[in-house]
Amino acid sequence: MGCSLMPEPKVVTVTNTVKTVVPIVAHPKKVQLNDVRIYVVSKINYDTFVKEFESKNGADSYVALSIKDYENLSLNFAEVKRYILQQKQIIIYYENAVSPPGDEKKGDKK
Amino acid sequence: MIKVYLFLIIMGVLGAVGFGGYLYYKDTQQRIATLTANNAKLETAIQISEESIALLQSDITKNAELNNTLQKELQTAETYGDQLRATLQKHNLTHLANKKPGLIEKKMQNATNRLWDDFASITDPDGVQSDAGTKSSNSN
Repeated sequence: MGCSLMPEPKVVTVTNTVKTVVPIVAHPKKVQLNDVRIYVVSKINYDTFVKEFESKNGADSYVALSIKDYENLSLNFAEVKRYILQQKQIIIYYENAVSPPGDEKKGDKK
Repeated sequence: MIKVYLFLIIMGVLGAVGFGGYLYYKDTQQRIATLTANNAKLETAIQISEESIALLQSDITKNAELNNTLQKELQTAETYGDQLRATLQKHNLTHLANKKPGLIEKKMQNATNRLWDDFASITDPDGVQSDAGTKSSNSN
C-alpha cells in the first residue's frame, strides 16, 4: 500500500491468446503401378524361354538383369518404401502436433 | 462572550476532525475497493497463468508421446529392408536360379506383385495398416 495521498495503482490484466491454425491438406492419391512380368532364365529353360517369350511378345529382345542386379533393384525399392513410410509418419506426426486435443490420427495410419 | 468563542473554537476543531475523519474514511473505502478489485484481477491472472502452465505441460506430454510414436514408427519402417537384406544373404539366388529357374521366377513374380500392392497400400490416403509396412516382409 502506498502513501495515503497517492491513489492505489490499478492492476490491468490483458489476456491475449494467439492460436496458430494450420489447415491440414488432403494427402495425394495412392500410386497406381503397372504389372511387371519377370522371367528367370538359366541354361535349363533358356530354349523354352526364347520360344515362349517370342510367341508372347512378338520379339526376342528383352532387358536382362543379373541376379545380383535384381537383388540391388529389390534393395533400392526397399529403400524407397522405407523413405515413403518414414516420410508419411513424419507428416502424421506434424498433423497430430497441430491438431486440437482428441483429434489426433493414429500413428499407424498410412 | 469568551464562552461563545470557546464554544465556536471547539465546534470548529471538532468539525475539522470530523470532516477529516470523513475524508479519511471515504479515501480508505476507495482504496479498499481498488485493492479488492486488484486482488480479484491478480487472482484471475494467477488462474490464467496456472492454466497456461497446465496447457504447456499438456503440450509437452503430448509432444513427447507423439515423438515416441514417431520414433517407433520410423524404426518399424526399417524392418522391411532389414528382412529383405537378411533373406538375400541367407539364400544364394544365383545358385537357386540356375537350378530351379521356374520356382525362383514364381517367387520373384509374387514378391514383386506384393511390393506393388504394398506401394499402393502405403500411399493410400485412406488405407490403414497394422504396422509400418512389415506385413509384406516377404516382398522380393
